[in-house]
Formats: sequence, C-alpha cells, structure tokens
Amino acid sequence: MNSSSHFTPPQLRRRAFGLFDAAVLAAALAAVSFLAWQAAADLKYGWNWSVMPQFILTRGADGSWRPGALGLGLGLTLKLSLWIAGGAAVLGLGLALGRLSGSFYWRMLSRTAVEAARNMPPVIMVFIFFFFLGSQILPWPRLIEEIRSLPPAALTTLEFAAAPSGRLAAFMSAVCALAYYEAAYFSEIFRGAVLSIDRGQWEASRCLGLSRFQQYRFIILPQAGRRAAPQLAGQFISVVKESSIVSVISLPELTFRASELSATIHQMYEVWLTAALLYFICNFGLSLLFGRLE
Amino acid sequence: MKKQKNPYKLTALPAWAATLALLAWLVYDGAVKSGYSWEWSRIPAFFFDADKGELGPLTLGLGLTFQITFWSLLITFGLGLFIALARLAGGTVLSALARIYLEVIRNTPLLVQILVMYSVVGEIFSLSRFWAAVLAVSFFEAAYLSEIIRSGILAVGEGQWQAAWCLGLSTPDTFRRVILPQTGPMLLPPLCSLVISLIKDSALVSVIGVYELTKAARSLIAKTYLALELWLTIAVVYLLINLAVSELGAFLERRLGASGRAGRFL
Amino acid sequence: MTGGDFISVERIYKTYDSGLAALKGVSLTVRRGETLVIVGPSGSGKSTLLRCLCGLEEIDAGAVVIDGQVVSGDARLRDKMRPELGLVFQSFNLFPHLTVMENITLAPVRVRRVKAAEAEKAAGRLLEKVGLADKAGARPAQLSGGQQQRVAIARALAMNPRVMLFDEVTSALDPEMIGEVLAVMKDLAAEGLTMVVVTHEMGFAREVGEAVVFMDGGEVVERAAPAARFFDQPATDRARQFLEKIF
Repeated sequence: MNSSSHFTPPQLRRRAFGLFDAAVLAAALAAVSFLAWQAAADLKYGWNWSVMPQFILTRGADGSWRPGALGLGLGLTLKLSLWIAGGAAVLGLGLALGRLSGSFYWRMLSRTAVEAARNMPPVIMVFIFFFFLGSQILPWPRLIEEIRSLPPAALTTLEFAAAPSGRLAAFMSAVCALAYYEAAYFSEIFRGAVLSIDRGQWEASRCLGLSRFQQYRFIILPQAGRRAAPQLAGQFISVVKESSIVSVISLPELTFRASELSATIHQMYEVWLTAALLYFICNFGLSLLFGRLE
Repeated sequence: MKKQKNPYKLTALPAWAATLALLAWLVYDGAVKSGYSWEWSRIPAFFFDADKGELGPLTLGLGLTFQITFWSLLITFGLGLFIALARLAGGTVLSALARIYLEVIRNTPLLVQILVMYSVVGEIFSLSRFWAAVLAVSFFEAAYLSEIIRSGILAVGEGQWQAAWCLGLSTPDTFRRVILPQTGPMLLPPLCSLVISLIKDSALVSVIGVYELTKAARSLIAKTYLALELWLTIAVVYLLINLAVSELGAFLERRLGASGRAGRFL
Repeated sequence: MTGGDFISVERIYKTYDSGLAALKGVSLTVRRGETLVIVGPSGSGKSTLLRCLCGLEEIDAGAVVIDGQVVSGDARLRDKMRPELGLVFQSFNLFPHLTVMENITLAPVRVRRVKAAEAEKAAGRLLEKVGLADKAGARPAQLSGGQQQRVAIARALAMNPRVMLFDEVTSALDPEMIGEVLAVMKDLAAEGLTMVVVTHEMGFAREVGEAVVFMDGGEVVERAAPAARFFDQPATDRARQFLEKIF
C-alpha cells in the first residue's frame, strides 16, 4: 500500500482563501462592530478602557509599583491555585494508589471518594467545607486567635503565602474543598499513567526482590510521573479556572474583585472583559509555557 | 494493578460501609459538639409541603435545574457540531474563528463566562437570567464537545472518505450520509459525561440569581439557618442524579452494542 | 473495440510530505475501451497513480488529461469528473451503516439526482450482474470478503463511469474468493469498458489485459501490448527480474 501515514481526506484539505472566506470575515467583523457599538450605546459615556490599567497595577506616590484590585485578585488566584494543585496532587496520588491497591477495601473506599468528588458540583463542596470548617468547628476560633497572636514577621509571611489572617478560614476551606475536588481528576491521571506502564516493569522489579513500596518508589512512579506530566500541566490550568468558584464565599480572588469593582465603578463591561482577559493571558500563557517545556 | 483474589472480599464490603458510617457519624458528632443542633425533620417539607399540598422550593429548584440542563444540552450539541464542522471543513476564516472561540472558552473560567454573559451580553441583548445562564453554559460545554466530535469524525477510517469522494458525493453529503452516521454511536459515552457536566455547571448559575437547586438551598439557608442539613441534602441529590445518569448511559451503551451497531469497518 | 486516447497522463510527479517520491515523471495513455493492467513491485507508485487520476491525491507537476480535458489544474473540473472514474479499493470501503442496496443507490440518488425507485431498479440489475441479487438487504458485515468486493464493484458501476479503476482489489481476499471477483472483472472487460487494473494476479493480467505497464520505483519502465508479449518477452532487465521473482 502506498498511502502515506498522514493522509488528509480530500474533503478536509485546506482550500485557498475564497469568496466564502471573505464573506465570513466580513460578517464576523460586522458582528463584532455591531456588538461594540450597541454596548457603547448602552453605556452612558461610551467605552472607556483607560480606567482599567490602574486596577491591575498602579504607581504609588513614591514611584513604586503596586498591584491594584484586579492585580491583587490575580495574585490570590495564583496562590490558591498553587495550594490547591499541590494538595490535589498529593491526595490524588493517594487515591490513585488506593484504587490500584491489592486490597478490595481500599479500592472501594478510594473509588467512593473519587466518584463522590466527580459527581458533585464543586460549588456545593466549597459551601460545605466553608460552613463546616469555617465557622462551626470549635477548635477553629481558638486556632484563629493563635494565629492572630503570631509575631508580625510570621504574619506577613503567612499573608504572602496564603491570605490575610481575617480570611484564613475561608482560604483554607476553599483550598481543602477544591483540593479534594481536583484530587479526583489528578487520581485518574496518575492511575492511567501507572496502568500504562508495561507489565514487564512490574515483573522484572518483582523478580529483583523489590517490595511493592519499593517497586512504586523506584520503578513505577518515576516513569508514570513522566508520562503524566503533560496531563498534569493541563490539570493545573483547570485548577486556575476552577479557583474562580471560591468567589462565592467572598474570597477576594480575581473573580470576586471583578464583581466588586463592576458594582463600584461605572465601566462594568470593561471590568469584566479585563478580568476575562487576565485569566486568558494567564492560562494561555501557561499552556504555551507547558507546551514549550515538553 | 494486581487484582489478586482477595480472600477478604466478603469482609471488605461491610468494612467499607462501616467506614462510611463512621465518617458520617464524625460529621454529625463534630457539628453537635460545636453547638450545632441538627433538625433533619424539617427537610422533607422543603421538597413537598404536605400541609399545603404544593411542591417545596427545593423541588421547584430541581425542576429549573433540569430545564437548564435540557436546553443547554440541545444548544450545546448543535453548537458543538457546528464548531467541529467549522474547524474541519469550514474554510480558512471560519476554522480560524472556531479556533479563537475554542481558545477563549478553554482559557477562561466558566464562572467568569456566566458573569460576562449576564452582565455584558445579557445587558446588550436584554436576556433573561435563565437564558443568559443557558447560553453561557452551552457555549462553554460546546467547546469541549466540539473537540470530542472532531476526534470522532477523524476516527472514521480514511477509506470511507475516499470511497465517498470517488463516487462523487459532495462534502456536505459525505458528512451527512457517510461520516456522521458512523460517528454517532461513538458519541454516547461523551454525551453522558456532558449531561453530568451540565448538571454540575447548573449549580454555578446560582450566582446570577437563577432559582435552580443551589440557589433555592442558599435562600432557604438564609431564612432557616439549616445550613448543614440543606447542603448535605442537595449534595446527595446531585450525587444521586449524576449516578443515575451514568447508569442510564451505561445501560444504553450495552443496549446499542448488543443490537449490532455500525461498528468498526475495514 | 479500442478508440482514441481516453486518459493521458503526462510526466506527473508526486512526492509525499514524508519525503517519499512516489511518482517521478510518469507518462502513460489509456485508450478508449482498453483494459490496461499495471504491474510492479510494492512501492512502485501503482496505487498512487490511480489515486492521482481520480483526484484523491494532488500531483506536484505534470498534467492529467481525461477525455481531452486537462483535469489536473482545475479543481472544479476535477470535481465534475469524479463520478466518471470509478475506483474500487483493496479494502472495499463499503459504508458499514448502510445496506448493500443503500450503498449502491446512495451516490446515484445524491449526485446524479436519480429517483430512488429508478436507482433501486438499476442497482438490482447490477447486483444480478455481479451475482449477488439476493443480498440487497444485507449489511456489509454480513458478507464475505469476495461478496463485499463485488458489491463495491457494483457500487462504482452504478455511477456509469467511463473508466473503472481497480486498485489491487483481490489482494485482501482469501484465495478461494479471488476467482469470483476476477470473473466479474473479466466480464466487464469483455463488454468493452475502459479499465485500468493494478494487480498482482499475473494470470488475470496476461489473460484479460490488452496492454501492460510495468512500474518500478515511481517510473514507467516498460509498456507492452498485447499483454502476453510482456510476460513472454520482457524488454527490460528490471522487468525480467521482476517476473523471475514472481514465477
């Protein structure tokens, strides 16, 4: 057979730019202009993008750059994402190992945990964790007081790494809830990666006398990790997007800040489009970066 | 990975049930210890008020959840198919536009898309909350569905495209009569996950005030302070619905498989 | 029986994206009503040639002329010409979700706008011709390889093409089913249909072919008519080596 391995059916081959393409382009441009014009008509003073940059970054009186409301929001979004992804990866690995375990009990338990997370809306989990951990458990208020009485240096580090002490409860419940939710997806990625490892690896390492733990640690997981890397990167981007959900418990990440801002200033459309743009740049940039790293 | 025949399988099932029961008790007791008073007896009334003989707010909310899911399913499917075809055979401009659409949707959070659809697009076109919600969710899921449809189409063997070409079939006819009918059966599992995703997404539209199940629960919590009971109840409701959908999907897959569908070709 | 040139291929070149040069300046002609057989080792470009003829592949240089019209440069003309060249594939490529009858009537109804009833009658006649009149309602999966290939031939014939192209149509069949397909092809040749047959079946080539083209390495090495002359007295060394390997 003489066919090349990359055969594109003739029906799907790229055609040169033609009349149809020009018509579509014209229609698209017309639609966008119409939208923009209609929006301007709704806004009393028309489009005003010039107010936006200051909410991302501002220059203080002493000439130093400081993040504005949206900038702070983006920072918190990234912080949340890192904590959530970290927690989800660890928990996800545990769940994956549980699902792969020889013990029926652990397999069932892990399966239940994963299915529960996958079949529930993450908003509900955030609310449950927030309510349960955030305000109802007795130890917490004491913990909050302990934290408030930490030396200032430790407090600022904490604030930098996570959130101001006032919002710590919300921060932690958000991280716990979403880490659990995302762990289900991470566990599927890890499980798939481990299952894709050739049986021979298991058999060879077994014959060398390695225990199951050693098999995982030295042979299986390193290889699985490498295979899972691209999907893990993609999952991190999902985490960044899912982090917007925590705005419902008033954590001041990017989406919450945008809501606040759009209610405060006049330029509602500009605020939302800027927020969307910030997310887009962040995620698209990350996916380009990860693609490059591969 | 090693599925050994576990001699303890018989004891594993009760042990698992016991573990779950223990977790439930911990939650219950933990709340009690922190001063929460459980009032489960009030919950059923929120589903059906026997005294007044009318559906409770949770049931009404659930009804709206189903409506959102239903309309979103239709629009998502249509739009997903359109985007997939646009990317494959739409010509230079249309496939580029489809690509832009995909990248925008996939790199921004659903919540932001819902809020943008409501505050920006909804304002411009005076959309109701319900339809802003449905459109936002549909546009979001359609992006993902279109990729699935696209891979399904590309999975049809090249021989089919070649045969259609040599017989002189036009491209639209090729899609309609040869390719898409063969893609169809492949789409059942992804369609099932799509429905589950739509149900989960519908919970998010509570932020723009659509009175689906989650919003109904939030309103009730604001009035009655039965936060834990309500959150746990609707969590279970979502769980049960989604598991039922999964089971239905698996059942349909088995039925279709048995009746000798088109299946693989040469 | 044979008329003027119907297909003329003038020095066509085709290189795949992978760098493989499949056709290097191939020229040949097919006369009206002629049965041309193309033989050669694997990878010699025989299938690629057929696919370039009906537009499945694009050529990089040269010209393809069908019935006096230069088809290679003009996409619209090529589209119009598509049903005039019927191609039968090695892997049959029947539409698995349609019945045999639907497979055969799909193109006439959708492309030539023939009425369904008429198309079905014509399909019935074709099925009789290939010996499968009783299988009209069956699905491809229920048929044997030889039966599927005969349906594929009927499907291509349903469009009344002026040339039939056969791309190693028996290579994927079990030996006991090759005969039934070759029999159909023999009948078609006897009726005066213009045919281009790429095949490894040397017996068929010798018996039915009116001219033989030997290809090797993307080039036409030898052309002989009648077919017997090629097999009895190959003119080139490469052809001789090829035939020695076969017989």
